[in-house]
Amino acid sequence: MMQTMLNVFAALLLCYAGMTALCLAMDRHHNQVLKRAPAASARQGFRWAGWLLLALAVVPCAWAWGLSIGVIAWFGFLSAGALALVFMLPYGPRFAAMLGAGSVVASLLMMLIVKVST
Amino acid sequence: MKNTFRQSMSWLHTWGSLWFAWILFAVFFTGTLGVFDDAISHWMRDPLAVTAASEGAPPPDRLQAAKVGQAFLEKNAPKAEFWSMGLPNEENTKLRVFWRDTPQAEFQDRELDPVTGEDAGPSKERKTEGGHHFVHMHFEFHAGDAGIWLVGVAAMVMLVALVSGIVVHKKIFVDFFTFRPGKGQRSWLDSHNALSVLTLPFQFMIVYTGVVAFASIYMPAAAMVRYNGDLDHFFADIQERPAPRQMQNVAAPVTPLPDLVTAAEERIGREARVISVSHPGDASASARIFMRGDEAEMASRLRGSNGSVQFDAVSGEILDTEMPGEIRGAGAFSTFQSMRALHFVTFGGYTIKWLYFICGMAGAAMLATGAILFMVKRRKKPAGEFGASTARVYRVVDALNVSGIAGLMLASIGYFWINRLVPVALPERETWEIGLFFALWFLTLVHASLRPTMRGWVEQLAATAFLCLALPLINMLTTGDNFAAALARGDGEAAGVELTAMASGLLCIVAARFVHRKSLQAPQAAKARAGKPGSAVEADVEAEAA
Repeated sequence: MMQTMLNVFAALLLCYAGMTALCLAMDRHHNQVLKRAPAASARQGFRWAGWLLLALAVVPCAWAWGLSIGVIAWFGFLSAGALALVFMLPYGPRFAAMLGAGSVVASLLMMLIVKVST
Repeated sequence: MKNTFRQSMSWLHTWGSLWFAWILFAVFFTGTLGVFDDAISHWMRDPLAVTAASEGAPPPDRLQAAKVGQAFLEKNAPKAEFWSMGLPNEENTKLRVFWRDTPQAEFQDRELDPVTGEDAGPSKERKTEGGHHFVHMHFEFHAGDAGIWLVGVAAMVMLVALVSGIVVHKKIFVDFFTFRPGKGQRSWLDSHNALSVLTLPFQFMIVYTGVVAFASIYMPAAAMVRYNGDLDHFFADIQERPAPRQMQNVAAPVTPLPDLVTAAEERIGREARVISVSHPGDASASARIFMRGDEAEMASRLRGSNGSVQFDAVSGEILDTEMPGEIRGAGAFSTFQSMRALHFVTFGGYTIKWLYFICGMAGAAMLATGAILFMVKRRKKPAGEFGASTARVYRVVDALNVSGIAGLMLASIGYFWINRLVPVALPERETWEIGLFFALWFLTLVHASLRPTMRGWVEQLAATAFLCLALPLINMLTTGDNFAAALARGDGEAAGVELTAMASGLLCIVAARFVHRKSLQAPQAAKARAGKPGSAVEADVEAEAA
């Protein structure tokens, strides 16, 4: 039960973080959050980090439900993470981005706990 | 029609969707509530009364129940074409029996005492359709086959709208994360786009699987021709079960059903859940016993049987055994089963249900923002599509928006109040509940057509907010139960219903305040525009429209 909850939150936070990174890779939103245009390297970095985090989110889903159901859940988390970001961004751009950074740490911690406790 | 491809798609998206937006909003909204139909039914049956009624009840004896059920049906439905029995378990201690006299007739049902077989009579718990009301609403509007066809047409329109919407939306990736609040029409379009783009996989999946789930109704021709109209035979074939047996019109008594229950439970190693008997009393009678599923197992798979055994109901001989987890049928049927499971969320437990709830509400919001955007655009700059009657048509669209969106939400939460306020002893109270739901919904239409549009929105949203927030109060006054007490005794379902209602109530307050502010700004903005030179034409058009 506890493990399922950790997996669920890890997946949700990874999707949120991945979407935040992809968002920061775009000029418009980078500027919205950090008030400056991104360097080419930063743009690349955020893009890679974003896709990586989204892909990584499959792992806790598969741990919780097995791969076949896990992939279905992953699609749901992708939507939920993106919705949360998009409707939070205009009201608190910095907060939304910080939350994304925090999500990376928290989700990796949760995955570690699940891994260690099994 | 317009000249470029994108323009014609835009025309299709706008005018194709508009006339179906309210039906589709109702389908999405009630279908999404239906994700939690079990929890809603549980709350509506009044958990305290159910517990009180089952207290002191002996542990469910399935053999005794099968015996008294059979006796009841032999006495009261000897001419029936089909019998079915839901055996008692820890949660539902009653025995439920169903029968119908002909394949076309409606099912009749009774609740019986599982030990004595006496008609349990007017029970203490509230007889209600509960959450099934929302489920039925979303695929048939309680209108039977006509409703199923209406929803099917609307679903096809929705698929067209999704595809044409993607074509119309020029900047899916550039605008992927874009939402700009406080900018009027721009904001409505942004939120409409964000809601649909971000949940697009879900929207396609839920609409498509919904249509496929009724494939045998929407596209019956092939099976009808191949099986000469005998769809039961068709279904038996694709499920690789023994073909239905023809009536022989030779009287033969049904073998004692408790013996079959014992045999089936031994064979599968699980508790029997449902017994069904076709052609009872005829020499062709057959019985199938379905076993209870294991919840953990069901959560981690899309398809596969819970186990069932089919018997010759006269001789008691076993005709077919389907073990738990067994997958019958070839690729096509397997695909069909998977799609049904995807639509009905039979897998994955509460987390997946919540994801469906979020994505489903996003779908409903997508439809609502689309319909509202249509009018926001035209309030700013009437397009005069309907010549002299344009203003009247806009007024109708506005009224339908208010009662189709806010009004449906009002009626839905009202249904929870109706459940608590309609007397427990009223005959056919479950039908009354649904009738009053529709009456309330109709009243919101009357209200919306009498009040100015903005006032209509504010008043209906505020009423919805009040009903949502005060739901625990009315529950406390009528049954003495409330979410805190439910949480304390570990009843997360009953508590969840009230907590979700209250959270929705807060959202409705936000929405009502938003519209209220807008309605205060609107006249000033119109005055300001009229004062500016150059916009006199626009003001004239507006005055004409109003």
